Amino acid sequence: MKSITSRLVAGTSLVLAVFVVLVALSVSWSVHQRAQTARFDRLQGLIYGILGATDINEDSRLSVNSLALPDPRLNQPGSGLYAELIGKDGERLWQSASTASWLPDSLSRPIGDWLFDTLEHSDKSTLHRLQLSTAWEFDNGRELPFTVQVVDDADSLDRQLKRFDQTLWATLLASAIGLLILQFLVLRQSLKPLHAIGDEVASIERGERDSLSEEVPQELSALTSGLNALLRAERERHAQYRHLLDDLAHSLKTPLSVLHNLARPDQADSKIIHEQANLMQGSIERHVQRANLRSPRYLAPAINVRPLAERMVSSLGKLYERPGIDFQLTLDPDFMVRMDEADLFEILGNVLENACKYGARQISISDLDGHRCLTIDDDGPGFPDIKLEQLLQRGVRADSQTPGTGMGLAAAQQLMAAYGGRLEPGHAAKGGARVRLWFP
Amino acid sequence: MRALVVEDESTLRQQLVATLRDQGFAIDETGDGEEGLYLALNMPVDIAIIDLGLPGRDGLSLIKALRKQDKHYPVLVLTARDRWQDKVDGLEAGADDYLTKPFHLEELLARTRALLRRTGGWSDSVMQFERMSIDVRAQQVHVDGKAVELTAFEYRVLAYLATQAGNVISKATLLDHLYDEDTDRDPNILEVFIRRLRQKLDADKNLNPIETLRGRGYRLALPRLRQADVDDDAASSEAG
Repeated sequence: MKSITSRLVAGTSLVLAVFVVLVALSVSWSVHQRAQTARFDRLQGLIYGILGATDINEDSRLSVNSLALPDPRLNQPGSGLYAELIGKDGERLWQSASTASWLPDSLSRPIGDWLFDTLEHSDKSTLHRLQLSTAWEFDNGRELPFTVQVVDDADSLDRQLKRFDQTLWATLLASAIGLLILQFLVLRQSLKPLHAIGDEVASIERGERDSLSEEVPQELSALTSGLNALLRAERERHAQYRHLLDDLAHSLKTPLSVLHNLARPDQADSKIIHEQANLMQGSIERHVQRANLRSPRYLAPAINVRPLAERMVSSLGKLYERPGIDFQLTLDPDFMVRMDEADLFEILGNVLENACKYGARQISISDLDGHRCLTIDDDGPGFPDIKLEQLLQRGVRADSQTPGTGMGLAAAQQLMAAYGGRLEPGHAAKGGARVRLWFP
Repeated sequence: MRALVVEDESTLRQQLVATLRDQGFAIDETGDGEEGLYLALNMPVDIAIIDLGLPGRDGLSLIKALRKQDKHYPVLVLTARDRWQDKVDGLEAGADDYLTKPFHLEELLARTRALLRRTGGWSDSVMQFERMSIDVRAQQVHVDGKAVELTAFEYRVLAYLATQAGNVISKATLLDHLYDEDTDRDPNILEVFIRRLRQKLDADKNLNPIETLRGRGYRLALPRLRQADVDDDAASSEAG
């Protein structure tokens, strides 16, 4: 069983079933028991009543005064309640005017003994019988033993009991089902926060949010705050890692500057010094860049593109004050992407500076396609007619008019790819270069 | 021209200072951010070259502070952090250009010259005046198309007056921008240099390039020929 819900539902269903069966059995048993006791008591009362109405006449024969009988049903034929007095030899001394559906044989018992039983006859109805063996004591000490037997048709009472049992089971079953449904609903409601956390984790992985909501039931707050702390720590660790590498690069680059400038062209080994210094610089840059590409996307916060693009544009405007570049920004203020801010700066900076360097005077930045794509068009010379994909290969330069530019687009493309997006070079309508950034 | 160099790595700073001095700059230098700010605010600086990672006060805050005090001279940032975010931060703080380490000193000089030209409103590396031109890259001066041989100091005097063309420059200001703090500065020597400069530039006495305004100072009075639309070839920056 995989889900907590099914486990809980199965467990509680089992418990509930056992409970319902036990309750039904015990209630039914005690009700039946009580009914039996009540029946015995009633029949016993009847027997005492009959004995009270019994007298003995002069010839020592027992007679019953039918007017003094305790239950009128005894005088009512077919009432189902029947009584009789039976002599020692089994002869009937008295019979009530009423009749029962059938008559069992009386049994000979020791005096003073009560017999209460339920009699079933295969093709007749069930009877309850109470029998008392007793004796009439004469004044002279002689005794006349006889048996009083009361027979009652069980039909109506049994029907009632049966109906009671049916009602009992039905009610319990219905309430059990009701309880189960209720319990399922309560469970679902209580497990909702868990599902919500699951959904949130998924959206963090997709990069749609940065942390779990802290508004959760008490029992889960430790879990969510723990996860959030973990995410924060991971982000910090990444930032730290990045800073550490940047610091390392920083600390190496200053002495590299010194080395570069120490080697004068007229010195003997200057060429070797330059070469080695360049190698060092290259590997520093490569490693820093590679390390930066490894940030998982779910750790990146959502950032607004427009203010960042505006900052980028105003900075480039300063750098290219002469000859002056006209930037046109058509960006939705709600254009958000999930990226490290530094990476987005890097991508926009590389793409835009590429345009500036190759002589664009007008650059437009616009979004389309429901916030997933950024189009950067310029009015420069455009990309040359080599395959556009080749532009993105590391180190291939579109042309060599400005030194040191080959990496720009390739680096931007690599960063886009690291986030699951892509960079698409093309031709702008005005004939310049077009770069489309497709965000994930 | 007076340059402020704030760089904490002393070998690199010495290289920078030596190169700039070679090019005729008067220099203020320090490796400390706080001292850098003091120099930036109190010296007649024409251009500042500031490293971002500094002890005492970091480069960004130094630039912000000097801009806040209405210092408008160009600032070139040196940084080992070559990420765009760092560049944008620097430019927003008030820097005019940046140079990422490691760099070549020639590149630094080109950027410095470009920045100075930009602040003087020149788009080309040649400052064109009526009958006279000054090529700041080659440090050559032509009058009526003929090259004029100038000593390094004479060139420095002329170049400074040229960047401030039309403005009256007092002797004290001129000396501030030409000499290091610790040099012996004699206004009389300046007069001698100005006289020699006039003779070299104006042998026929019909040009009068440098006017003397008694008690106030000097002024380069030649009308300037602007080429505002000429493309700026060296101002573009270098970043991968």
